[in-house]
Amino acid sequence: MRAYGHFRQGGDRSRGVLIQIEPRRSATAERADKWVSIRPGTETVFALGIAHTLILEHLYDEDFVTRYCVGFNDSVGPDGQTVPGFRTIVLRDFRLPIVSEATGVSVETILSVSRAFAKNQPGVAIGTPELPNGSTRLGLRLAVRYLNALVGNFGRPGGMHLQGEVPLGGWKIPEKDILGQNSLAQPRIDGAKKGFYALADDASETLPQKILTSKPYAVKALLVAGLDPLFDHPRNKDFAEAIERVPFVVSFSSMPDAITRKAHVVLPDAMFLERWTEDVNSHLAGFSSFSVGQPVVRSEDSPLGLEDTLLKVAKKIGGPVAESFKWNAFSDAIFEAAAPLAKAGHGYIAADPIKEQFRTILTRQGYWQEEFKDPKQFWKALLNSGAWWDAGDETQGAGSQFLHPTHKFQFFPNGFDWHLAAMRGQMRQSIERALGLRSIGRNLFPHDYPRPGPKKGEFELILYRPLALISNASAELPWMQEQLGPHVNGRWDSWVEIHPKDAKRLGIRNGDPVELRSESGSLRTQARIFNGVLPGILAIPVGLGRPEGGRWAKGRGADPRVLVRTEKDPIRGMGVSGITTLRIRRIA
Amino acid sequence: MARWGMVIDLDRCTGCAACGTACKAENNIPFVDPEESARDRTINWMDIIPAEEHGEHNGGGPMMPRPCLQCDNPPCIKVCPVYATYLTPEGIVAQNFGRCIGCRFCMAACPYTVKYFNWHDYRRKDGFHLYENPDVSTRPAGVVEKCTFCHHRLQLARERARVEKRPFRAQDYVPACAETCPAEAIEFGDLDDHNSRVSRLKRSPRARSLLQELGTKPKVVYLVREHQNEIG
Repeated sequence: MRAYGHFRQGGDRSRGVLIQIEPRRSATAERADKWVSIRPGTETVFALGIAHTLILEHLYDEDFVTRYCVGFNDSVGPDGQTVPGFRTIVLRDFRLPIVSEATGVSVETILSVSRAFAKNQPGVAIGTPELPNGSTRLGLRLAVRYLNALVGNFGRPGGMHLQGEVPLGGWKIPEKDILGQNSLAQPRIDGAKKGFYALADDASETLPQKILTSKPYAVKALLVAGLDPLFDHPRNKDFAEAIERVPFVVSFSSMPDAITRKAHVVLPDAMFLERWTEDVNSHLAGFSSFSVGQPVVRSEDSPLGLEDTLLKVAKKIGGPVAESFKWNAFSDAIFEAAAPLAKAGHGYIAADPIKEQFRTILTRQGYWQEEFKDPKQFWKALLNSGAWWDAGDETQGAGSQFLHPTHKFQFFPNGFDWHLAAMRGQMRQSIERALGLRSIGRNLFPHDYPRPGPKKGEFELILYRPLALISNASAELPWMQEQLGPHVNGRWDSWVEIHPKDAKRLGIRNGDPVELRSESGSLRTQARIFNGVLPGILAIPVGLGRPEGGRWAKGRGADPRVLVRTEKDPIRGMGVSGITTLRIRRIA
Repeated sequence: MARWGMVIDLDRCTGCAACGTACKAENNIPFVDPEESARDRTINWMDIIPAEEHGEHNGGGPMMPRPCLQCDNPPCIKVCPVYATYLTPEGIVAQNFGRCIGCRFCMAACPYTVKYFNWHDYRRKDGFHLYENPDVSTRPAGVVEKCTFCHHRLQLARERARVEKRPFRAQDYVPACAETCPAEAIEFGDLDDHNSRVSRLKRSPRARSLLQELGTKPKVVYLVREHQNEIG
């Protein structure tokens, strides 16, 4: 958010332009210079429509595309046949009238957004709307990446940067004892890394079914931390049944949520203000960083943090496990991990803006100065400041931004193609469909599969996560409940947003109780009339409706995920569709 | 003597409400039960309100923070029969909770609706009281409350300067909202110091006062967004 402030009114630069493409007028769309309201689920086509304009009007960075990209122009395959390049496909399949019809956005708007994007450089195209447990939508991510490639926005100031590794130390992969070796010799319970889930690291979508059927084996123990699968998991109802079959369930939740009520042992985790935390920042920051948070509230009643609990358990187990987890406290482990940063040869502890500016200049010129000889002094400074970061990532050129062996941008990424190559027929098709891709010859290309639109009297539903419910624990915080949706005066309860015209037609007034019914389920909530959703679209916030929980979250509001389908996601291992069609009616 | 004021840059503000949450934590603002909240009795010294009106119930425009506007000509103090609310020499519209008789005249007089009434005793004894800020008194039922520019922080900053045997500096005193704002949208300081950042921003062509025509002379000033860039 600090970067946003600087982006808008940085003082030393011209005001940044923000265009938001989204079906609902979110908080970001409110702040944008232009909000493009789009039909839900058609963002990929829109992005490719922009690509079409950039190419057609020759607004793309030809030099970058020539030097750093592969697959833009047609090529000749090993069989002598012409393989259509990105340019050919986009100019052929994404003509603006087609894009306009699919997205509901006028041709003029697509043109103006495309021209604004090309004109306001350096600039980036980012993001895909994220829901908790939302689908990967790899096709959309690729389409957004294409836009950055077309304007040459990799490895230059203000563009996309591959984040460097943070040179942490201390934590090594523990040596496996006999028990560990035997356990790892068994097949994965969730079936990840093969079949439909060949691309997934975890496939928690399958867990309830695997536990229920005891295939490939019965689950004897389940340790749950960081979420409540009986609420957060897309197949939470199945999970509730499955949990009864597990003889030993441990919950680390700090709230009396649904899984905690079912658990045999509860080891409550400390809340975020009571515990040590460490974090390597997300990929969007454009620089690598490492931050440390200390407990700021501590009372005798405070429980241990999850990590400290695990260290204590490791000590009790003894043997190689205790040796691998050698630290007495989690803070010791963080200290050890952070120590190499002091001598990394790059990066500094965050400081005041003037010092930061000076260091950034030095870093960009290739200089680095060691500031701490003693690791304890470095640790003290790190705790005072809270973070270490390296501005040097921005100094890397375009050629170093791509991990592909050619060090070039691939318009047709084949990194996962070899996984799919082994699959044929329906399996391959279902994976492609789930990822939002389709085969064009030998290549995969982003694609929005058309969904059945709403029938007469039906609406399209979109789900979103309000800022006040950004984490799983937010619903437990009364101050967050008081500011759930200031745009519609939403507090302590769920609501459905409906356009004024639709509300008038259906005789729905602000605050009226309404019932929503889709193929998947139904729920009751209250209506909020809001012109930030288009006619024909309803929007509901996600994060409330917990059947169990602390006194402020339990039974408050409704969980709209009962209205949408659970989808399989080949990369994330589980997902929910944020879009469905449904009917709404006022109830007495 | 300083004249404290605030400038809120709506082009930087994201509407995240971190300022309001920090304010609640700093000033021991109680949360009211959902039933009370449904009666619009939620207390927000720093409220987040729509910056534009698009008609009733439609939800309107970007959200913006709204503290007490700390008027130089405050209507609220003129109607208070017991001098519970008054203007300090440094321009802060202060509120003496112990003196307030709960007549709510000040609430009616304030054109910015920044004053809140404690309809019940919202103070809690179920654990939440352990997290209260000892520098700020809690308010009983029947008392009006509002933003004080974190006045207690001014007192603490003065005391600290005295202990450290150095002169008090304007930058020693920052309200919780300005300190917290992640987008650095809230600037606070001495308006009479023409070299201060807050004073310079107040003279910006983007500066606007809410309901300026009423002559209340607010010391909280907003910087409106620049004209939207031409996109078409």
